[in-house]
Amino acid sequence: MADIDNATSDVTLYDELGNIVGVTLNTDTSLYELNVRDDRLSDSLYELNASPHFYQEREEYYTFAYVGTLGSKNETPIFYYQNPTGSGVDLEFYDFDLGTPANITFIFRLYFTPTITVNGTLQTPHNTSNGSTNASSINLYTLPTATAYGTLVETAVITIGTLRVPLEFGYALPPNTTALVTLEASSANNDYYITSKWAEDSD
Amino acid sequence: MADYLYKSVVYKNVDNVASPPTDWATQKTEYETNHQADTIKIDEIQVAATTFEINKDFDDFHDMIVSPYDWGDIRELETTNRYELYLVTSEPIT
Repeated sequence: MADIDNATSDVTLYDELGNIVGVTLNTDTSLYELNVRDDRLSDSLYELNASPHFYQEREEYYTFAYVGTLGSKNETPIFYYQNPTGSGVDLEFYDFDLGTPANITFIFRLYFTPTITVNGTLQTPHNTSNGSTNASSINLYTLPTATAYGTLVETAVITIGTLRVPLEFGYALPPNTTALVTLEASSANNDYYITSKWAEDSD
Repeated sequence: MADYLYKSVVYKNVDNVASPPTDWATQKTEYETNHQADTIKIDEIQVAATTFEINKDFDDFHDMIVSPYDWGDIRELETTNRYELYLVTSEPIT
């Protein structure tokens, strides 16, 4: 039986009774997929750079923080998410953190499938793993122009202070779908803070 | 006795401002050129519970500053992207 703590170029998988475990490769995608439940064995295989190639499911997490001012008290588009065709990932919203120092009320809304005429300013989301070179596969724009906001799927209300809107991956954007975040204030000319965090799942 | 706090805003830049006034640049020039030197600069403002706060766009606020008020009665609080202007009165301005 192979000693997983002393890696060699040859590895054979056995079950708990000592029987050789057959391995089936998933070749549905361009990468071979081998799922191994035992963490120690997984790590050993990874260090071996074993053949067939082993890789772990890629799920990256991203964040984007923005500070802005609402010049109007009308509902105003703030973030526009565009998951392009062929991105290979699903965007799954984790949460939004909202804040305002003003003694007013902000209404937060999340829509699916808005009608956008001007994308706004393309931003650069940051990987939540500091130093990671993996970049987001989606396009995030600030201050877009919308002629229709789309299907309302989530709302929240914040007064002075901060508020977390936990979505816990409950809303997803597959490739070729879009979403819009708007804010509406109870009075004009007030500052807001908003941080968006999400996962990009390559499943 | 209640006070009345009239508030307005003049934007210095609109980089991160959603739906700014269309004539914000004209308002900025008008304020900085003709009125800013007269206003009282402040670092903070606290609004009491007995104060009515009334927001005005700059053009309407500008038109309110007539006798017995003048620009020397206006407090200016400068923030990152705007000047916030305040006028406190003991009677409402109609």
